[in-house]
Amino acid sequence: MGTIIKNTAIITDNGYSAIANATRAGIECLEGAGVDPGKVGLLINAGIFRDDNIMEPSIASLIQKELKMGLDFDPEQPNQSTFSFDVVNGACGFLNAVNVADSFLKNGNVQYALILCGDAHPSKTNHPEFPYKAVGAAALLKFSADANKGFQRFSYRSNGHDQVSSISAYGDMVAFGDQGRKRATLVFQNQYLNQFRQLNIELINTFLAEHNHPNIDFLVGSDPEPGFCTSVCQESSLSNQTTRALELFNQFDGDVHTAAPIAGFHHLRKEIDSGTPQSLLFSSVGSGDASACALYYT
Amino acid sequence: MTMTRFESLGVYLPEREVTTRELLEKMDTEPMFDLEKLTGVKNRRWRDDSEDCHSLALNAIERCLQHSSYSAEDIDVIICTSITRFRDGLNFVLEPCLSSYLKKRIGMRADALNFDITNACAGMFSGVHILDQLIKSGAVKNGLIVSGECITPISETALKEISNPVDEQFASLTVGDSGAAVIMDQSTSEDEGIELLELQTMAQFSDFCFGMPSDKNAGVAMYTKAMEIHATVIQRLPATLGHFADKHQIGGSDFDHVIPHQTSERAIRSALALCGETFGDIPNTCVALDRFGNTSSTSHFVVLNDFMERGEIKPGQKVLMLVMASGIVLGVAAVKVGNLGGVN
Repeated sequence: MGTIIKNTAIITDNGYSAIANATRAGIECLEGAGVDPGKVGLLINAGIFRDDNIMEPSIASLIQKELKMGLDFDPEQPNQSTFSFDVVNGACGFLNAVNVADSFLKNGNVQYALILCGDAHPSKTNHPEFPYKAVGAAALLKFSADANKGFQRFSYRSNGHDQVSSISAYGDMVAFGDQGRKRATLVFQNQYLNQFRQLNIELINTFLAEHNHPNIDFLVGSDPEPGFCTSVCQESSLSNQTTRALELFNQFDGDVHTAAPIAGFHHLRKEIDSGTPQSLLFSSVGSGDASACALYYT
Repeated sequence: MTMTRFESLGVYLPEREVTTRELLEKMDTEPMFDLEKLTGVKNRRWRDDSEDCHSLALNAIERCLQHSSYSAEDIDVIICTSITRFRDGLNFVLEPCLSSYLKKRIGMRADALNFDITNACAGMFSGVHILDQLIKSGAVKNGLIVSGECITPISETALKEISNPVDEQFASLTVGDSGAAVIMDQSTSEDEGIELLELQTMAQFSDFCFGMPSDKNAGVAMYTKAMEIHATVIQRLPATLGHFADKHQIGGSDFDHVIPHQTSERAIRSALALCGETFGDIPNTCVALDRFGNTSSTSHFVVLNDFMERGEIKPGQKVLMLVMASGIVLGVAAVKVGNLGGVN
């Protein structure tokens, strides 16, 4: 039995507020699935940049309010409630969130889980130094009784204990003065893409070997530069198969960062909805450095 | 379904103590109320210049591991749950997450999972809820929840900026710094474990409290609509606890102690006093606001550790934990505690 993606949504033309973009993606995703917001027991935001650098409350709770989901304790329906929080782990956040949601769904704790991703500059403007595309992404998850469908086998790996993170983003609350809500510092080490590629390939090779080299139709991976995901596919043991790598950077004209896995799945919807069984390898790599992957069967 | 348990606990509190009187003396504006009497906060711990969320968390983890039968290499997942997320001074870290630093620093396996979550003062309990579900589904065997909460920077901003007697930053003067870490695994006996745990976010009220950078000075601030939050909680706590009691056929007399989130002693006691009708006798209420203030996401574990160290909560006793946080997150946990301060 596995957790399946019931619906997805991607918003690319809604401006530069991470909250507004994720909200619109959430609404579109739920409406498309015909699922009442009240039925979503778990809401996770895995976007990492925060409008105005808000530290509290969770960004998820602010979006939850806009989605009109579990707004208040209802004595008439006390068991219908929503629990929300933010997951923070760079590009790997979506797969971490799915890993968590998978447990809540498997244990029968919730009926639906909604995961939101996407990043925008804290200033909510089209900031020239912000390297990511401002998008909102949503994936609605539910549990399937079909044992052969959905997410299977999550795997994760960090770089060595003596290695630093290849990229970092932070708000310097002293140096920014009274502009702390509008600024972020992003640091990219030289060769960071090579570090990411190497770690990503290492995890994929280990993962495939551990699971007897399952057939993979699509690699839905991080694509922080044009051709990155394709090169991971070609340089890993996936090159022994006919796996097709998604080229998200070219498709979105930029890096959609935390939203990449949802964007990739969304892009494949036509092929997935055609009914022919497909196997996907979700794979992310980013700061930490860390890489995550999971199999998905349609 | 088998229970999970708190296997070991570690708490770190910075040495320096700062009294409420010392803080108020630095302010130009007098509050309209007696802050110490209203909240019960007399003292709080204060970070020194070399401490940040990362170091507070690390100190707590080291103590937790000393109390644990596990070594860092045995741990399957680390979840860091701090609100403030400061590293290298007042750098509010967006990525990499704090748990990625902590994981490497303590020598966890490269294939162990790590991620941060953020959920205001419900952070550690949200981590507990997540880890409880991960263990029950078989995704992991055990895990470490940690929070290093370097939250007194909001007090520093409040001291500079409070300009009227009912300012939204007064609650910022009640907080204290701390680190807490707890290791969880599957319980091996009925004598210890998390029997029940429910959390919900009542998002209609998510804009009642914001922690964010100040727009007047360098640093971070917290803006709290304290009266609105208190009214919201007080109106919902009796029904929430009543529902919890009915659903699980339990009541106040089943517990030895209650550990509420540490906000204001008067607010806590007035809210609990209203719960008698729906929940029965309210158990012994554990409050350590006088010494540690509101330590935000770590509060339940700072109090649990303190009361266990002083022998007031004993292994085998049953504790009701009440979660109240910005969001507004409201939650209840029923926990039979084991020997958290020694090797289990």
